[in-house]
Amino acid sequence: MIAIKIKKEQQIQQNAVNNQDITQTGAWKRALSDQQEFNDAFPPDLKNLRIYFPDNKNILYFEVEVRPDHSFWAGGLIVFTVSISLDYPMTPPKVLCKKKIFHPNIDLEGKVCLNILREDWRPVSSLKDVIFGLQMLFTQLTNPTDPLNKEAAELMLKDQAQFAQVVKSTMKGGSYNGVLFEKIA
Amino acid sequence: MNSILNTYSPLSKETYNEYRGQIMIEALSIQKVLVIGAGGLGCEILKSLALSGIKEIHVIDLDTIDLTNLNRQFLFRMKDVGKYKAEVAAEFIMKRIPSCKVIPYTKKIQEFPISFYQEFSVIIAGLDNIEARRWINRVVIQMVQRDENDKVIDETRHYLIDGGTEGLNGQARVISPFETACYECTISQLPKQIQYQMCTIASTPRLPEHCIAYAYEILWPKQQPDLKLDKDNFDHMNWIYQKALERAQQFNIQGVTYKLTLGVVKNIIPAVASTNALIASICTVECIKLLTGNGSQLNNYLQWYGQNHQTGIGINVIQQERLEECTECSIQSLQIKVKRNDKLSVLLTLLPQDIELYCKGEILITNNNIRKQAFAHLLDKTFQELIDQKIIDENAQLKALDKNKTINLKVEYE
Repeated sequence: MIAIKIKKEQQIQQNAVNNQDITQTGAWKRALSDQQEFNDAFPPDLKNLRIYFPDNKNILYFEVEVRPDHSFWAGGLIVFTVSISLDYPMTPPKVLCKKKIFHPNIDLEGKVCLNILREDWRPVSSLKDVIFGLQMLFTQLTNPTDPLNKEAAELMLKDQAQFAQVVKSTMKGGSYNGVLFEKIA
Repeated sequence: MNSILNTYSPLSKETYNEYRGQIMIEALSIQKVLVIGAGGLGCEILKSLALSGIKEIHVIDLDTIDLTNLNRQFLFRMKDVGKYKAEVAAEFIMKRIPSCKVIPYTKKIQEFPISFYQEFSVIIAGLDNIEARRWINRVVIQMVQRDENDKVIDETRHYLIDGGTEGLNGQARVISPFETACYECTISQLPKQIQYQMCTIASTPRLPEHCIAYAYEILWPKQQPDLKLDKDNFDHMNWIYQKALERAQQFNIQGVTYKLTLGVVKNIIPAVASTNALIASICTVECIKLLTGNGSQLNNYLQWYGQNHQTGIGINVIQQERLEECTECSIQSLQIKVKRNDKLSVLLTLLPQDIELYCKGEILITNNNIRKQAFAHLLDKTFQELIDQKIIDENAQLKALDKNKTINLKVEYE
């Protein structure tokens, strides 16, 4: 049937679509749709969470500021960077912790151990789930039994009082075991 | 082919039965088909198309021939290792079947403009990655034009036949934009990538794969941060293998081999020639059916299991349905009239909530609470001002991205 139609005269208008336009990629649209959920889930006046887009035109990179109000890290301001690749949602977003922090599941290079970011990521998971997960890293999801930062994990299991002390002092900019931390509290 | 194209069939389309015979044979010989990928599937598809009487085939593949390809990509020989797949394949086919013209391209598919793809009514894809499939799916959907009544103009509908194989299993699907499910509709059905827990890799490895992942994901960026890992470079892969071996010895884990290292880092699944042949022939037959209207079309997804641990060997045909909230193919068109001295904010009353509005890739309006301050200044400007300041192009369509769908806005300024 197409063979016959091609025999007749055809006019196909030139389509003005730019096929390199990143805002037309599946990743962009899906990231946008996930971020619409932020409107309801994270109102802008929340005290312990702030989501910030350094470049308002680029939705594939943003930063999440977490201020835990209880737990060992209460009073600190922890910033995570979230990068979404063009493979999204097939690959999870890449999350890094901007400043050094003494935490059993965050290593000194900023890598974050969160199940939803790796083995439990599904294409139906969303950015909202990731942000909830990051908040819970300081409460329910603190897990010293499967750690990225072994020293922090061991100390947390051995002597909680001292662990609390080290967290407080490193958040103020102190050093521990030869590593200098930046001030985040 | 002549006997097939001469036969009447009640299952075929009306136009086929009307024009079958010599006219159909002549019409088929002036068709052009685009094949993407000249690897495992691509070689088989090229062979089948050429032998079915297609006289002009264009093939795109940016890859070069590797020694490991030779067991199944039969258009290549030992002397061709290192050359471009598309070019060698084209030469082979044209030598073997002089009446067939094959034109090779060795660029990325994303480097061709849409006008290139508009010349082909059928595109057959034998790709090996998801991103490229999503991209060509989007191109095929975007090429469709609609008339004043918002009905799809049939001549602008280009079909995509997508094939894929993995070991002894394979699949083929026919994508007809806005009629069948597109690739993005079904994207959540894809199996998830294997990723190991970061903490397991870092502290408590148990499997040889964990050791390899350690070398690949932690040691390489740490010890060679400026060097980009080249998965085809023997020295790079050997470095990873050695480091993985050290780690395995440290934790007393057996089983780290160079072959496993390649498998984990490159995500290799061994390829079987017969699966490729099977899927390629299905794709070719569907292509012929699309071009001539002969026979009843695959509707629309076929799975071939040469090895399924639950159900054994078999074929499954599924009619995948379009997703209502598909971000690619649930496109709506809206026509609105605004006065030139209306403010841009008037669009907020005409469009659904929670949208983001673009003109040629630049954001005009967003309902995202966190970002909308940055664009609030545009809301107070009139359309005429925005046109004068070249922020809006009078003749361009605006795109509104809803949470679930795309809305093409045709705005009439009066």
